[in-house]
Amino acid sequence: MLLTLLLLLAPARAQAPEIVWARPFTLAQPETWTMTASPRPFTEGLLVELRVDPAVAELREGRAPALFLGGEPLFRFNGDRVGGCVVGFVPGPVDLAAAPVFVGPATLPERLQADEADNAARGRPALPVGDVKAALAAGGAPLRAADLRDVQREAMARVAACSATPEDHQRAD
Amino acid sequence: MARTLALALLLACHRDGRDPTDDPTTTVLPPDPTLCADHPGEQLCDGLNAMTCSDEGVIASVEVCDPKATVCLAGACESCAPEVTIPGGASELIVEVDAAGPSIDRPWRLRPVVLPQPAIVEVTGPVVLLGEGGAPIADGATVDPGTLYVGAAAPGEGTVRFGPAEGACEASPRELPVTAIAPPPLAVRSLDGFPWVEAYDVFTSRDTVSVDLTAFVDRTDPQAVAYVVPHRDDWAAGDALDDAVAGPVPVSLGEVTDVWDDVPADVPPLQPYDLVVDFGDDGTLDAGDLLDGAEGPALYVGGDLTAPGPYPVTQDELSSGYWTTMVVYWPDPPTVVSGAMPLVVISHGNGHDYTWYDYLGRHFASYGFVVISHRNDTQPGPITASATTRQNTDAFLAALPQAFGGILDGHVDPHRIAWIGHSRGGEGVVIAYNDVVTGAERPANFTADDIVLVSSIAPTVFEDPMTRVSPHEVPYHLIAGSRDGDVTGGVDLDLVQYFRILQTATGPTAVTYVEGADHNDFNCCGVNDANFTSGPGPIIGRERAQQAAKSYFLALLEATFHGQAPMWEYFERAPERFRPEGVDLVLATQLERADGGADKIVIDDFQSNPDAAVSSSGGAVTSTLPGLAEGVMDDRNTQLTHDPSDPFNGMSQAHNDGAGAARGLVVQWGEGDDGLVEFEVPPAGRDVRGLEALSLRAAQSTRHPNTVALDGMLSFGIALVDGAGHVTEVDHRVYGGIPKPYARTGLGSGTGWVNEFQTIRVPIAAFTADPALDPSDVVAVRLLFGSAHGSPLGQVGLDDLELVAPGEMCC
Repeated sequence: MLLTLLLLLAPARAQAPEIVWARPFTLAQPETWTMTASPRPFTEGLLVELRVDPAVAELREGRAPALFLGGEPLFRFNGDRVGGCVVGFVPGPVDLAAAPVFVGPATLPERLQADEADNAARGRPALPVGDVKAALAAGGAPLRAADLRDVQREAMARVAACSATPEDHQRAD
Repeated sequence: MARTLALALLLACHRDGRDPTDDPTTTVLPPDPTLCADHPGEQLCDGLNAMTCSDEGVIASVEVCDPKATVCLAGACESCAPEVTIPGGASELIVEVDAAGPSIDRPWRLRPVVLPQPAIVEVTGPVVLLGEGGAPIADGATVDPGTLYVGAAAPGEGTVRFGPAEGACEASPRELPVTAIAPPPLAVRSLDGFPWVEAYDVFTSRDTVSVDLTAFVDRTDPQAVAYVVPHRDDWAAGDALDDAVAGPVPVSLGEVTDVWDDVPADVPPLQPYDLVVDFGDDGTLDAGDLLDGAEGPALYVGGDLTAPGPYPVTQDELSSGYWTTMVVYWPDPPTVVSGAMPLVVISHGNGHDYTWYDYLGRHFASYGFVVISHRNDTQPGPITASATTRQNTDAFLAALPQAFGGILDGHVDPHRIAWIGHSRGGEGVVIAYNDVVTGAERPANFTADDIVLVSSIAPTVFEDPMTRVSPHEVPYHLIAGSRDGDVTGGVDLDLVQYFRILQTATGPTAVTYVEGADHNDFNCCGVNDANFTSGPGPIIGRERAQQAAKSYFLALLEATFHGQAPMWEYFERAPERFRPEGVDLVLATQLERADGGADKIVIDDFQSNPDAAVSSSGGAVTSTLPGLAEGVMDDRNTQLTHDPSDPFNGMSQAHNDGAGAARGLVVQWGEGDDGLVEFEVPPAGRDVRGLEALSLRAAQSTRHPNTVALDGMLSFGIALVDGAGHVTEVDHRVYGGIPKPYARTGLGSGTGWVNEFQTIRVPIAAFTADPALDPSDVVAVRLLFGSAHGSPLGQVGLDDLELVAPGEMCC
């Protein structure tokens, strides 16, 4: 009883992001990475499914902290404000074992300089190795996509399965 | 004996003492003494002899009429000048000007007169006289008895003189005074106070259509009735009025009479009608009747702007890449619409989806627009989103020959494009326009000139409105809700103070501020962000918010692209009194003409001459109220709590926007503090004849004790002062008041959200309804505050005091 009371009174702690699924992909047609102040083309990336604090998961209009994977802000296909499931990607070959997942600065991604992103990632712990292995195993073989539309279809299948937020299902439909 | 008496009377009745038999040209025979035998007790004529017969059948008296001045008519000497009868009229005529020249083909601009005897006619002033067959009658011509028609080609005073045409009559011509007036609107709506009527074009089911005959004080025909009939472009004499939707309703001559009190709601938008006053009540349009409708409909029934339009709609997805993926909506087949259709591009906000705007896409397409709603790259920010808007517009125009088998090829007008964006997309469309108009971006398939309208739904303001988020001169519309839980409009964050964008626009602007609507009410499926807000104000929900959005957007698009100018009334008239059908919400609307144009004369926009005693046009500003503050319309802190030291509390028109920041005036008055603020009118605006309206914007100050105490709609007096010192005042509440701030809490103590500016537009006709005002010499505009003029107390922000000339808003 006392323990329960103490737990209730304890300050709420933001849920640390967890990774549950990851799948590398390649693109037959290059796309432009726009989540940066210096847009650049890319032809490969990593699609991930995370569990985060629902308060962080929601996509809002104003200035809000971004979810980062390694040195890049995550491009997100959904915003599960109820369950905290987030499906998104970052470009390039990603060493998931060395890439932290974290809530970074609220800078608009299009204003984000590379050094600011790197600084934000520096010193943060990487994801647990076991989680990474399990996520990659769950994701399976790399996706050979024609373009981002194929990646999006894969992503929305994940969203449909994981999200507890009605508007996510509107998107997935 | 009797004969002797009669002759004696005959001699005695010579009026001027002369014997008409003295005139060598006139021979007056003595009366036939036997005539009275068959007419005892009557008055008879025998030549120039006017006789009175006794009851015994003999001549009792005889008057010999002077042939130079009189004739004998019914036994009495009457003037020999020609008589004229005016059917249904008095001794003078008021005729409506026919600018094309009076013609029997437009008999409603003519007044018939009946001439019982030949006459020589002359006209003066702008008067034109037509013969029975409609042929013009030359000045000085002799005309036969019959019906003549009086008209005029220009306003002014004149006469028709009917002189004797034959015989020895030397009487002065009969003179008929004629006043020619510009045709006044007959279809009006009654007001609760001076000037008692308004003459806007659009009526809704909340209105009663009345006929205003106050300009026609010459009319005396008690048989006059009014009809409201479907509009015709080909009115002709003799047209039956049997298709009337209202009437015949007997009208009160010289007054205002209600004619149609069951204006339908459930009809398509802008149904046109004409109004006829049928004098003589014969059920047809004849000379002497009044017609409002010959130069365009007398009135429109506003109709249901939320109902689908006349065209069936098809929607399908088009994608040439992840970021060029869109839903396309079009009238199907596109050939049902004549000519190429305008293109409407919808750019969603962050966390939204391009499939969430069917309610707009299908609605617009059903009225003859091609619409695309595209995937928008909003996560990086509004600049990236702006690029997506440009790219999708370009991609769609490029794809037309192939898309959907080319069905839309040739049916989309690439030179008439509207951009509508929501949230980050709403900022994005403004940035996109800025970047194209400044030449920073050069799309392949369109130019800045092709973007005819930009509209933002609750836009963010990440970028600087003074440099990047500027609509420049393109017509710009802003719609937002007071219950927005995301882009709140609050004073705590610069990036949600979207009125800053509006302030940088130099073209025509319009605003629709919807009380109780939240951010995602404007799409199908976003989170109910009203849940993130607090306060007792009503939350209207998605359905009602979207009814407002559909209505106001359709009005905007129809006015901009389809020439439906009456639709601007939904923005220029105060929504308290005039709203689209089915929109029973509290709204604040604004409509402003483009800056720097000839169609408005700015008295004070407060942007220059920071001295409160000098207007931006250089004139004197005087006040009897102590609480007057001129400055930047920027809340001093991030709280809405009342702060006596911050008269601009709750203002979100500016925020750290530098030298060009939006400025305004704040006026405060307490109970018993009646007072005024007077603005000298610049020379260019002193002759208000020909001008359309006096316009200003006003908002109640949120959480101010006076606002809290008033707790309702606010109004004040607006007056014109002429050079002789005459003051004509209108309480603008008769047109609609200024809403109290929405009852939302947060950002400090108290209740009330940010400023809700409302355009107040008083027609110049309201002031000139006072005949004592000299409209050619208006020297000042006076705003009068206090219980004698409107609300007993209050605090208001004011901006953009202007005189507006007639003319199109834009496009």
